[in-house]
Amino acid sequence: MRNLVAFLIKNSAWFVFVFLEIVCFYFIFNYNSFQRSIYLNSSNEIVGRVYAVSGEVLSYFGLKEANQDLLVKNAELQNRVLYLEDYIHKLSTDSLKTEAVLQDSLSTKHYDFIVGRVINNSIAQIENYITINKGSNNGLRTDMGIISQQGIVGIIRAVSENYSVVQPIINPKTALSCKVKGSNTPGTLTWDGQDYRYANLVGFPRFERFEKGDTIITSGYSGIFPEGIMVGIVEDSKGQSDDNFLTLKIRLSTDFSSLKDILIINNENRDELLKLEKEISENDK
Amino acid sequence: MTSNWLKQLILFVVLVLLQVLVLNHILFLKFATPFLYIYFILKMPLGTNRNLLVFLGFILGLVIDIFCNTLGVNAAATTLTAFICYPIQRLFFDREDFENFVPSLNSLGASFIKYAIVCVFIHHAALISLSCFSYLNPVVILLRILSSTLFTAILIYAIEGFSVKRKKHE
Repeated sequence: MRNLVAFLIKNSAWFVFVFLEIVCFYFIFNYNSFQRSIYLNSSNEIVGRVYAVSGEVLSYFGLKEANQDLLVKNAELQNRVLYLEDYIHKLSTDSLKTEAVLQDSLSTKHYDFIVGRVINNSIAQIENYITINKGSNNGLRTDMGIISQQGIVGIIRAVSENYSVVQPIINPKTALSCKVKGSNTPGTLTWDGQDYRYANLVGFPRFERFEKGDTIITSGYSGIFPEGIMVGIVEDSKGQSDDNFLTLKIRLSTDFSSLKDILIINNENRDELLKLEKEISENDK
Repeated sequence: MTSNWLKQLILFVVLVLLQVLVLNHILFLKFATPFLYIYFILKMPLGTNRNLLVFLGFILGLVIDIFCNTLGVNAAATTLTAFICYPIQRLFFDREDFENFVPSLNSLGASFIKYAIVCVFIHHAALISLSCFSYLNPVVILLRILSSTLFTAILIYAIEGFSVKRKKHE
């Protein structure tokens, strides 16, 4: 017995080591169940505070570019407003059509936008995450979509009271349904961990027509993003192992290296959509 | 003794902040990211209880993981490094001679560099293979490990070199 105790004490470092490694691997392989816990990721209060301070300092750099971007975006929107006003004016001779247009534009308003700011951003790792300065106090929930002025960013994965963690499209765990603008065939956008400026659209049917330089937009199927949010531009294409599909190389429109201001999308109908889909899958069982 | 622990605590906080706020954002030539926080384990006093050292390694890795949203990955690599840094020390210098002494370039010279490079390499190899093994091919992973090790080693050499100069100056 005494020998056993002596043995245990002499080799206690081994036991501590093995025990802690088991804990680590338990964390690694059960990451998804911890992902939503608000203590073990960067949405927790202390980490969020640290990132908020550094984000505050860093936000002063690049104010000029942010301003420039806003002016450009503003001009674009101004043009669009003028165009739509003009369009409605033309239609106003036919009151029935105007009615239809107005109703159409009203009925698409299921999406709300909340403005937020990136306080920590990573592009150098494989599994990249972004921390933002809005949380459940601002009405955020998990699975909300995030976009920037330039295009799509990612999806909220964890929310604490004041901060949230976003899983961007430059994370290999993200898969997003997208399509070529003007066609209705969806493909899945994934990231291969190599270059933060590019992503791949996999499972794109070979018979479908597209050209280099075509725009890729969200399909809106998931209910997280509205249809038609800018994703990127087709740069290249190559065959997949099973000859019927292509993989398109997409140059992402969002510049993740200088991401600062973002919009959080709240789809008011998402709960309804999920409930409906759940009902169907339950009926199938 | 107390001031020694206070120094270690400050080193811990400074290295964690430096890692998560600055170094994590570096991807030099698409491959190299320095993980300087492992310097904390290298600078633990030699007399430290081995259980405590392994546990501190775990805590250090876990804190980095919480900041980076990579739960378990950094913790696993750092725990491993803390566990095997005793045998590595024995390999390069006589541990019995230096009870309660902090290893440094100033006192150990070239053997400190060897010790640091081996520890850093083991840590980076574990960390990078754990975080990338399902996404990247082995050649890219190897390149990342080697270039990151070199990067971290240069940073450690620079910090140590700075303190050598300061000592001489005094």
